[in-house]
Amino acid sequence: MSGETGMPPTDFAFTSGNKKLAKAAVAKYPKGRQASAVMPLLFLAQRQSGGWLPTAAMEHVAGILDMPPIRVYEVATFYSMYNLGPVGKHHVQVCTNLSCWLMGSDEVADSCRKTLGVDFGETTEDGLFTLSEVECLGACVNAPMMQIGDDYFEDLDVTATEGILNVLKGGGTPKPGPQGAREGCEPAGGLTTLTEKPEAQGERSGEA
Amino acid sequence: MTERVLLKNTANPDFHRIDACLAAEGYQGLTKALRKFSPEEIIQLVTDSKLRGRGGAGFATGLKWSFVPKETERPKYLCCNADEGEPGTFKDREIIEKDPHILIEGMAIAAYALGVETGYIYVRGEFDFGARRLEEAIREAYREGYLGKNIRASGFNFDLHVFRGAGAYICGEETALIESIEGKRGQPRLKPPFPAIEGLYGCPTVVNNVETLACIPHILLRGADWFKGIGPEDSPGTKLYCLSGHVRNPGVYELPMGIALRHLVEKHGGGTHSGKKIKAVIPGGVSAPMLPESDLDIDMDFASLAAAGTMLGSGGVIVMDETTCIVRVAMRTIGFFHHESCGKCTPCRDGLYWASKLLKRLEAGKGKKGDVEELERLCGNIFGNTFCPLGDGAAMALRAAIKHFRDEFVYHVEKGKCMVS
Amino acid sequence: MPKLTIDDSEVEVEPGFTVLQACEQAGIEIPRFCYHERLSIAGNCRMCLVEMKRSPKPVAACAMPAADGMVIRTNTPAVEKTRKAVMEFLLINHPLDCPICDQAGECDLQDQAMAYGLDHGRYRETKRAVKDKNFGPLIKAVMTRCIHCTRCIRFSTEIAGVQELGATGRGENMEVGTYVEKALASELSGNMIDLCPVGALTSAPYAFRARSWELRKTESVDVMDAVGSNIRVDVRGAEVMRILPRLNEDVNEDWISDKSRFACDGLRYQRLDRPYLRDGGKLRPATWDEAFAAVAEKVKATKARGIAAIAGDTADCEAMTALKDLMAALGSPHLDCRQDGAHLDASHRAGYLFNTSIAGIEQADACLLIGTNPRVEAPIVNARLRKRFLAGGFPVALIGKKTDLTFSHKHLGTTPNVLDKVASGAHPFAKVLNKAKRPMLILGMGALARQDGAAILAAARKIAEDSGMVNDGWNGFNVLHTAAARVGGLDLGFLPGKMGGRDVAGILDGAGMGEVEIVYLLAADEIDMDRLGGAFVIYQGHHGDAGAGRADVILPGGAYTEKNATYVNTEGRAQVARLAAYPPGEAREDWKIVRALSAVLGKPLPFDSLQQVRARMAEINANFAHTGVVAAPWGTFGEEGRLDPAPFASRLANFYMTDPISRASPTMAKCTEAFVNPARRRTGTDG
Repeated sequence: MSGETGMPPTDFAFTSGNKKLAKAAVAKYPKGRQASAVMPLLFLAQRQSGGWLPTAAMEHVAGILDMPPIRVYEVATFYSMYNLGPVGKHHVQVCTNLSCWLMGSDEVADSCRKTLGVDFGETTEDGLFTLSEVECLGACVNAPMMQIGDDYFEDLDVTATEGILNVLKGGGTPKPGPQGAREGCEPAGGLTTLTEKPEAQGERSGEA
Repeated sequence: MTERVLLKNTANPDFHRIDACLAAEGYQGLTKALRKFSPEEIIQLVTDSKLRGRGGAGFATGLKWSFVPKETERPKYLCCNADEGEPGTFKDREIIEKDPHILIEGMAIAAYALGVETGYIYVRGEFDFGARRLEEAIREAYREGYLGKNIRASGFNFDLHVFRGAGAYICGEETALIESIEGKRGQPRLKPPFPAIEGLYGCPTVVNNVETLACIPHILLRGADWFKGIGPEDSPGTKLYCLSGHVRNPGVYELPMGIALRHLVEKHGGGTHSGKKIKAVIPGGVSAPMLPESDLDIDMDFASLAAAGTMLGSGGVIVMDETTCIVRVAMRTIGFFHHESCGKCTPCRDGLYWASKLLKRLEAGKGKKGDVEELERLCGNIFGNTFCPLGDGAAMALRAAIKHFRDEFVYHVEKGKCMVS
Repeated sequence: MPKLTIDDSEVEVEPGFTVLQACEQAGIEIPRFCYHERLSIAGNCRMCLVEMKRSPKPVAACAMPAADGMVIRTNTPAVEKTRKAVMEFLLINHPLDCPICDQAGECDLQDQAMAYGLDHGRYRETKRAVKDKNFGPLIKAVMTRCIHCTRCIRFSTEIAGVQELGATGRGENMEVGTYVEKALASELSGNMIDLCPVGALTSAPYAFRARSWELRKTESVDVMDAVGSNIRVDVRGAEVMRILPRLNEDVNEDWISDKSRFACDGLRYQRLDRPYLRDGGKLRPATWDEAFAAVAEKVKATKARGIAAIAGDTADCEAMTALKDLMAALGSPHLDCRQDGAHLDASHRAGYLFNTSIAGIEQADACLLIGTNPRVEAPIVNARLRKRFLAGGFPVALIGKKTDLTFSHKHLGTTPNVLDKVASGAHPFAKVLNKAKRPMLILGMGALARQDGAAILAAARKIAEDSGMVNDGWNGFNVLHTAAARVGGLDLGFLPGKMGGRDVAGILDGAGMGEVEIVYLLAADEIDMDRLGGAFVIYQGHHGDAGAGRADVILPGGAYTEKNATYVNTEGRAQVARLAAYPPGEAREDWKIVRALSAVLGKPLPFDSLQQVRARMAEINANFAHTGVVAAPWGTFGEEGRLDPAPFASRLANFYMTDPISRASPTMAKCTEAFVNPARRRTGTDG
């Protein structure tokens, strides 16, 4: 499991802040069902370890939840949001699924490659960016889109993509959400459904 | 009849806050339920409303609830499926981010009806903003006494928690979702036993979609007849349709069930963004078989679409114009299912691996004679033989692409390049 | 009882049956890979799909409960097509390396491919490959061959109770493994090799040594512990190539321990293949005549009461019978079969048997373990205890060394004081036992092989009596033996004679003082040889272990795979081991050696055939006349007395090396290194 940069840590323990959060996560589940908290605890561990899960962190989580370590490895390797090797400070995840592809995710991906100088699955030499291709992130309405860290960046084009990445390169914080004029996923042409007249069943097909 | 119901408040940017909700009719459905209805009456009301699940399968909600044993010593659980991940679908996110309280209220009513004291909302892991909105809304609801112990002095207790997924489409399958909440790999379970009898922690469990649960407070306030009066008789109500792809006005549209697909795409969606002709439309997320332009005069409800060999699914409508390479659409779609296959059963794990490799080769211009027939055979060998519907969805989608656009596949094989681009 | 129609014929089955079980009952074979009757149902391979009326899709027979009125079809073209489809999918990522795979010839995938496979491959893409994993010295893992049936994962999690194996990754990337490199530490791990339907998990020591069709298979029983697991001995030429379990629901079900399975390579090393004589302080090869003459000369010069015999832990009943009769003929009362000095009382058979029976554990509803660690002393019994535990409502408590039994239990303490408290009823667990309908206790050799063993035996008897463990049709009092020969020896009365006969300690003391001049060791290697003083030692056995090292005359016998011999297991079940390969060189079956010697000594024993020896055994004890177990009548045994406060010690320091065969086994040596004395920490923190 050793990462690309240096040796993986052999020791891991939650910070006192994360310990509290872990305790709160366990408290959401019935007594004896603490294994339910394995996913939130792995997220905490991943965040604390700089965006990925060293084996030591998984073992720590296993210890807290009284789970055999293998059951934790099974979970960590099943879900795609857990990174099993080091990632850059900004994890740029470009959706290339159908709606995004139809709306130009190829260009967005190329723009990322060009701006960052790395391909999918790679990390920039300065360790600032990791570029990944991901499956549908449930924001097809604002396609094409990408996720960086926790934030969605939507309604992208080449210029917007370059702009966002350059802001991050310069240490700034780009504005998340749709990069055009829209708010969330409201219809692009404005609201169309509050203004209509009632329709009868038969009318609709005829109208179309 | 076309008033917005589920999305009527989403234009208000503050509606995720409980005070804005309470100023409107927020939590009045729950209050009414607790004061005026017995749990059995609510189940009857939902049954009478003919509400069908909005997650994809369209199972009758009232019937699903009625399977839960009334008398049991075990605790019961209610899970909300907010693991929205079917490509082309983004409706639940709209509710979660903009009107989270309607979901909380719907869950509280359902919990009261089912005798549940603990609920979990399984939100896909990537929805960070939505999950935080939900958590904040839950805190507010506790503060205002709509969650927790002795809600509105009724003696009813209900605790609600957010559970965040971690990137696995399969967790949208209800038993995989339950496994995931138990802290395991999200692999589907054998049925029987069904979750209503043995679900989360081996206890009776109901799993409902966000949109389904969001309908509940409205049904409570306005009655089953009002709900039944919207859309077709066997699947009434409004539906959140997601329009994306080559469409001028992508978005979430709340319209009655049974609206014509062409009307949705051309009138509401404004046709293609490029003005080019429509080639095909996927009506219900990528697992729903695509329809060619000539088939768009179809009603968007469970029965009509099923009769046409496709499905309403999650209501994720993806529009493709005439420049779209269907072979690439098929490759990308099967690539998705291959990536999301949990690995448990043979036909899905190995069948999609095979289909995905073949399509990649075909798309890259390295097709061989017999590849198209091979793909059709693979679909036949996957469909119906898998552990859960994931493999079926993939096979149906691929089969439809070949059925309607066989010449494009053949062209790829014979010329080693794409017909359209 | 649900009645269903399968392929047009009506079948009535037990409630709770699955469609697959119903089909089996109807004599219809359903192909399967993931399903195994002793494991939880996974339903993942999809090979068992059948048609069910009113179901639009085929259903997995292994997972579908049989219900009244169901109509099942297993022989339609659609079912055939489905099986072929699944088979083809399984094969696309399988390496098809049968020519270099040890599973070939006994591979489920290979066999079923004969029935449902295509005659040519249609797959034109690249195959998936998986890096081989290191599962330790016993299991060779070639994971590219894995078909993801998860039987091994379910076995280790459910039966063995060791949570180390799992499935990592998703979809195409799903792999069965441990994630971090780790040898699989379980006393039952070898069973995964049998369960694996393909060549992903094969026996490491057996790798590339033989083809399954070259082997001669002999049904036999194991002697590595006192369970008497039923085994199959596979031999090529004169060499035992491997040992596999043989189904016996009452004893070992489908399982055997890793020692039973893998110690057999010890049969190839350190063998005594000819007689030896000590000459000028050194052992030199001799002829049988010379060896017998030397014994005869010494016996002639010795008083009857100066002769003693000790039967070892793997001695067979035929040989013990012959030696006992020979000692009687010579007039010596000094014989014993309890090398460890366990205070077993042969006065009542119920006092030294595992009365509940191994299968009977499943009926028990509470259990007290005293001075035993069944996980290492009898892994098969431990697996049964775990099985019972998983069924629920089975409180278990342990008095003895704290240990991981693979199932949760209360550790009450390490000393006999706790036992005293339970016996007096003062301990809370006494109430648990009292409340139980079918309570049981298991008394180990760690409790009996000590100075106060007889008093502990009496205390355990009191607990059994006071908590109602012995009643109509139920006997919850159990002694868990570790020596395969022990119960047989007790049944035969291979014990000190009434007229001042010496037990093992007495023999050793006598030898030290010169009162015992001749000691006949029948495969006895577990005593302190230094205490034999100046005695003339006759060692009859098969391995150059401790006994042979001390011997003045060596009479080479056969190992358990080399003779037709009877062993009585801890339950009192007489079972027969069969000759699978002849003893090496000049070595002979043991009873024949004693018979031949008796003639040289002028006291010829009255039997010349195996049949006659066995008739003599049945004459000594009627239990040898049948093969099952008979409930032993209760009685008063043990001797009430003061209990020594010293903690119970475990008798087995190293599970993997407990007798001359396992000590000679290179595989058991590797296990010892890997699991018992790991030179470095076994669990790497990363892979």
